[in-house]
Amino acid sequence: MARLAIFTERYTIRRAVELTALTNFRIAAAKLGHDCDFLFRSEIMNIPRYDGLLIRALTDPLNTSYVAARLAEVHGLRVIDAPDSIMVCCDKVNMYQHLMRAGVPIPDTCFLTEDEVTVEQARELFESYGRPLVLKAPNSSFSAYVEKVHDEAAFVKVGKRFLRRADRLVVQQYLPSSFDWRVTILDGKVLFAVKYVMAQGAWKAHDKDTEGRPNICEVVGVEKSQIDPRLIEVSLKAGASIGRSLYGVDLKEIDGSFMVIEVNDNPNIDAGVEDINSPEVYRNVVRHLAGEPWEGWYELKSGASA
Amino acid sequence: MTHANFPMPALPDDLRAQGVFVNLEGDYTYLGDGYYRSIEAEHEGMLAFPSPQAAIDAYVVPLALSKAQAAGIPIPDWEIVNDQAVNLAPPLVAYPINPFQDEGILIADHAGLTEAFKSLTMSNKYAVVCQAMQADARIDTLRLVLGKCLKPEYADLAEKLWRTFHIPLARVKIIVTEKQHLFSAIQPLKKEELTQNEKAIIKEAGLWRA
Repeated sequence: MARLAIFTERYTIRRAVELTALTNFRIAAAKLGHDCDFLFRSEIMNIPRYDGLLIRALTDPLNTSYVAARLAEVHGLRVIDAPDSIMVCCDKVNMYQHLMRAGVPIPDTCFLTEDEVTVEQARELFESYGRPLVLKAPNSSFSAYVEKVHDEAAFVKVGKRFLRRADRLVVQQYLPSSFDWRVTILDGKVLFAVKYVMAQGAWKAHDKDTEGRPNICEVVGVEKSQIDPRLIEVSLKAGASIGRSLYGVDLKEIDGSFMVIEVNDNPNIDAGVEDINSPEVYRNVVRHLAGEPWEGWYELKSGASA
Repeated sequence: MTHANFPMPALPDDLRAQGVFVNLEGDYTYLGDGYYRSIEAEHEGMLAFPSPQAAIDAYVVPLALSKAQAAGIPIPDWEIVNDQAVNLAPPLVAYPINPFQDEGILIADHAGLTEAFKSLTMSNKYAVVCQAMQADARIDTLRLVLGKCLKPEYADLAEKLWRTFHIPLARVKIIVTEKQHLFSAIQPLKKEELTQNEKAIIKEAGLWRA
């Protein structure tokens, strides 16, 4: 029997789908014969008492969730999300550099410092990457601080605004699509895949309408048999470029090939949403934390670098 | 109960060796220019000091306390709290744990808790790490330059902090009691803030670039 804990924060359990998912992890642990406690901030010092820790809270290297993950790691626990994965995935500059170094297909991407966010630079990038461009603050999540810019003036204005959050700016080629694939993987194995279908008039998963109201994507379940093996191959390669933790890999399908848009740590697993065709996801995560064998939909071939 | 183990690469004998990058920006704040210089060095295959993870370990106070303790550096009693329901009694030093603040606050008595926590928790949104202080203790600052400090009383501690944290330039907050120097927190010390004598330490190591 393993002693497991789920570190969570109060804002993580505001929605029913989040609360149910947390409960599902605990039920799965009980059915597999493991203890599973919920841990909150003031109980962080209890982490060394456990064998495995699951982080289900907003991650950022400067937040308590990272403290929990890192303390778990240095005390020898199995931990999801691994702190080095939080560190890489929460910073898009670091994340894209990992993907580039591993030769993972991504849209044309570059990183700029404040001095480089100029009209001249914008002109060059519009010429080479096309128009519009996508600007991203490195530490954005849920599509926040990700904006399209259509001209040089907007490039400089939005770029300077994003540079208030970090000393680097991500500039990327714009690739329109009606949906993104989300492939969720753990330890080099696919847990499940879904489609994030953009809302009417939206260009990203968490968009806003013209009046500023949320315009959120629809999550559509996908059967294992519907998955293109090339999608799996690219997703696993993207995950392996960062580590063996839990990742949500977002991809666009462009003319029959797959481009990685992002690798997210701490991916959504909402009850009745992402798990729609993979009710076994809770058992698999618990088994991983308990150090037990489990099978994913697909996995990296042994010996393959990615 | 297990003991914390923070595995770190050994410091090279020669900091000028090929493949070693000693980042002398002094401010290694997450997503700041100094932090990115270490990331870029690692992506170029170099051994960066500090590594990005070492920078985060140093600046996130509960992690720094754990790392110091694991290295045998004396630390104060501490706890992470959500609000002012603190088990430790004032006087306290309290540091925020969030992406938006890094300055600690000295809380002298219970009357100061409410205001300090409102600020540090950003109105109860984020957690705080509290450290116990004795009534007659004081806070001192150790300026760390490649493991050396110009205050002779901190020479040994400075060397140990460098070997533990791998932070080339730092302000280290120390709680000074009658009997001990207790590690409290690490903060940036920018290269531009160095005194001539501190710059001389870098020159002596052969790492000075004007």
